[in-house]
Amino acid sequence: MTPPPATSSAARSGATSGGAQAPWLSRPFGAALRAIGIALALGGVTFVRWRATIDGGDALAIGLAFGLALVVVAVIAGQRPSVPSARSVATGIGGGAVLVVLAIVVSSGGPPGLAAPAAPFGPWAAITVLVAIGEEAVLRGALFDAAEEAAGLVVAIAFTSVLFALIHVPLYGWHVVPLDLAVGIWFAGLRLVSGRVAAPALAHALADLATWWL
Amino acid sequence: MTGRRSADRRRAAGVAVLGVGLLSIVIVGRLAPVEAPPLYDGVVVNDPYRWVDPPAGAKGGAKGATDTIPVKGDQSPLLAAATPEQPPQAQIFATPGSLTLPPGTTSIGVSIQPLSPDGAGDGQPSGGHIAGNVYRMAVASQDGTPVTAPASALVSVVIRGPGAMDVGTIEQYIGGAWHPLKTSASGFASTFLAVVTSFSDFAIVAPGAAHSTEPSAAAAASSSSGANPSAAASGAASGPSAVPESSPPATGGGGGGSGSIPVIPLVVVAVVVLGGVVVFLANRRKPPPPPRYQGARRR
Repeated sequence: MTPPPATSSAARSGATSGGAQAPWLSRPFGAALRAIGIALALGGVTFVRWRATIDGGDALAIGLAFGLALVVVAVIAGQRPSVPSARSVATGIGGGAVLVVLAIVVSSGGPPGLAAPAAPFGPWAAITVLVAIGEEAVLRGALFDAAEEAAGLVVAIAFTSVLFALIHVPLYGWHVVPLDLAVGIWFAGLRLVSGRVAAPALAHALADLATWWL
Repeated sequence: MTGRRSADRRRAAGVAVLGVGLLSIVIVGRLAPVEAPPLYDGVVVNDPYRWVDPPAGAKGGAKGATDTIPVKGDQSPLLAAATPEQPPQAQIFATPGSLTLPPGTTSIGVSIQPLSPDGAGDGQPSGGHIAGNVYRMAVASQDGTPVTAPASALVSVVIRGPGAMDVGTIEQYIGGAWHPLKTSASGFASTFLAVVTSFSDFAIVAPGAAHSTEPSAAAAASSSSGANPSAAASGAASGPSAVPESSPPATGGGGGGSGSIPVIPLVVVAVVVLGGVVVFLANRRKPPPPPRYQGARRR
């Protein structure tokens, strides 16, 4: 029996039609539900992180819990670790380097010492990388896939970029939204160009690590 | 073949998206720069805010800073003084040559001292309430003559507020009144920056009435003269007009008491489990249909 022709949405996601009953109706709906669930989980984790931070909890412990929670969300949502391709690594390093250069050239720069984290570099760096990977696995990984399957590429880019900006508001304030929105689009571009989450994750991690020196 | 074409199309779309992203970053960087780190996230490690008079559940032990910097020649040296918290709760920055030195200056002394809002003059800011400590900043020559700076020198004070503050104005206490300064948010840790031309008492003023995270300020507002700072420290009523906002925050409420910390792991687990259930349900696939009958098997 020949399966019914796949719709454009299903074709985009590379999905094959499963059941005999109108999969083109149920798949986007399921993907939308999945996207909503992932977004809710991300929002919940972000809220808890914000509460813990304003309650004066240990920042490294909060960061570790936040990063692990994101990884758990990503794994539950279907993301699986894999060895990144050389292309992804190169794209990620290039993407991160662009962000660092832009931060130096474009942004006005704060007073010296203003942003120096109150932690030893090693643990801070490890947790920073974990958080960056976790955020990308959720946003540009699981959520991007679900949103694209549900509503297409443009919506996926917009949705993940907006959420990326919003999850930073509780800690940094609304004024970071424009920048984080733009960077979210950049990360989405890295994901599309490389085809993998590894590229935006690497770029994100590099940009975050650079804050130690910037 | 079709798959490769599709991948190429996605890659081309990705290049276009990268272009949009790059352009957006440049435009945003020009129009609305964020003055401290490129906030894509990372782990922000902040010490909790240190109060002179801590509200219930908050940390005390705010510290000051002093320094003496030798002056060589006529130009003022680089001045970068900060309190020891991370990030510092109060800082002064002056680039070399930016301060106007009295003749004969051989060294300048810098002092930053935290004060309770109660002890920082009688007046209260008109446009809001003092958030956090008041910082008394002094920069003077070796004989105690105050050092000033022209506005064009961009000598700046940086003050960090308690909690997560999005809006605030640095105000300076001069001549018995608080005067707002042009303030910019640093984009990091409730920290604000203002250019100054002289040094005295500075504080962050948040709009509206004090709320439960700032009982010291609330208590100060309710007792304009001679209030006992320790009353504010305990969050207890310092007089008949003591406002409810100065009472200790309820656990799990909007205030931010430390009592809500133990529930955090439970909430994390609950959120992850809830999200997982939703994702699982959404991912659940129907079992594959039974294989079609293809005739009797031969044994």
